Amino acid sequence: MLHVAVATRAFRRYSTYRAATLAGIFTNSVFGVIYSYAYLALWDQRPHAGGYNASDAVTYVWLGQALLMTVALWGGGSTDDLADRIRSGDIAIDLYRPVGLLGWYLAADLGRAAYHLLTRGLGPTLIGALLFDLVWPEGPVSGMVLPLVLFPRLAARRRARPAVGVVPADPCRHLAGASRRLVDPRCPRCAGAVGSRPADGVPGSPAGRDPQAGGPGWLTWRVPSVTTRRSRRCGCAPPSPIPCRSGR
Amino acid sequence: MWVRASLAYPLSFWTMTVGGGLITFLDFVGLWIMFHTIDSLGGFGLREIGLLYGATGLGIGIADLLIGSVERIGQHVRQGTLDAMMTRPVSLLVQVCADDFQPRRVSRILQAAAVFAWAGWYVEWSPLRVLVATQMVAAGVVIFFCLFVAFSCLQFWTSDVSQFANAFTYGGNTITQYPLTVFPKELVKSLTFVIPIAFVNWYPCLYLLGRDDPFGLPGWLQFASPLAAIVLAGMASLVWRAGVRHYSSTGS
Repeated sequence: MLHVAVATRAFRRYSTYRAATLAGIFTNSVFGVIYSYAYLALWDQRPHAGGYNASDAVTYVWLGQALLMTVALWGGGSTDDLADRIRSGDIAIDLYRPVGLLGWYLAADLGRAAYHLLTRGLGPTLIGALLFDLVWPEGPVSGMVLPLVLFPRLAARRRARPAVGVVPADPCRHLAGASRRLVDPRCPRCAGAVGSRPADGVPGSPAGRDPQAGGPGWLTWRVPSVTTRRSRRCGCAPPSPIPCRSGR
Repeated sequence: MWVRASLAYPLSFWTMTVGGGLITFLDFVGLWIMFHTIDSLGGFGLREIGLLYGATGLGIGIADLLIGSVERIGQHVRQGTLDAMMTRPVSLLVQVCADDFQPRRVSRILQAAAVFAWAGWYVEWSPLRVLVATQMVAAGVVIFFCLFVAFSCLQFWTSDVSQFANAFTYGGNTITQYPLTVFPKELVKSLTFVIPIAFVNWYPCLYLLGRDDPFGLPGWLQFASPLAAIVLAGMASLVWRAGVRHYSSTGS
């Protein structure tokens, strides 16, 4: 119950900044349009690159823009809050609470993610659907897979960044430890950003976006994202959002 | 001061410097991967796109080094630190730029310069082309500089819309990494005449590569980058003044 309360407060905290949300939706959509046209040019020459067609590719772009903030792979959200609180020493207050630190911050992050999914996820998706020909789930079952993929993704986010440092320790603790040693939390954040761009399916850079379109073989094997590996381990999800969306 | 401050934590500094360069370099790696399946994108080869990429990267890299901190002006407004700056006898813009000056941004410039040099190796240089290339980089810096300033000024009115500026600054950088032939004609025209982002690299590069304009626009546009930069600089300074005049302190 407490965690639900934390999550709702986080949801409300982010929903205070309406102008920022609108500005974010606008920016995501601009990048969506740019990448879509770049993709269409590629698929214009190779209509079945990597076994996908042009609308699959464009859908991938817009899904990526929609999930960018929800998953907050580039930083932001409660991991940044935590890092800042370690830096300022406010973390002592958090540790005094008779509640698990990880649960607390996970709840806050889920509240934030819910808000971002509803606004910055839904907004660009609608705009993308208006401007381009997107692929929609073929049935309720394949439609349900997306949320299933999303949740482990969120949880794995914690793992994703420290995994770059290749220390398979408890992720949050590692991040905390790292920033305590480095004082400046921007450093691990940046290292995480570098690692996450090519390593995750979320399209931030073309590198993250199109290896599946038939890049060199040595790249393809390391592309499956942290989450993908995870969800495969659970045996529940296909390797990237596209196949589940288009029912493959 | 800020240079020394950022060197105070050497590990942080170097991670972020190298990381920043890597992040932008990955954009180019993405293009390179694309070229594993295709020979040309929008009628342009990888080296020609490398030229476009390097030129726009140099433009935004230098502009970002000089004035990237202006994005945080909303924070200054919120925290009231802008008041302190206004009382000092130095230009406000200079102070905002100098605040939180980040030498690590140099890595981005070096990376763009490397790609530009690699692609420029294959351009048949003539004195006029060298001149056009020089003015392209200078105009690119001015154009991105103006975009940073003008769109950050919106934060004088609503302090939480810094993301909106990203669509034009980083979005402008991303869009010019691709040959504009992949975009619809209307978009290219608005990038020429409404927000002159196309002058950052597209028109001068067409001249460097000895190509005709694929959209049939007049050839003098290929030399018009400085003009576009000057016009935009005028507009940006008007917006900046309007913004500063509109600013009213949060008070106490």
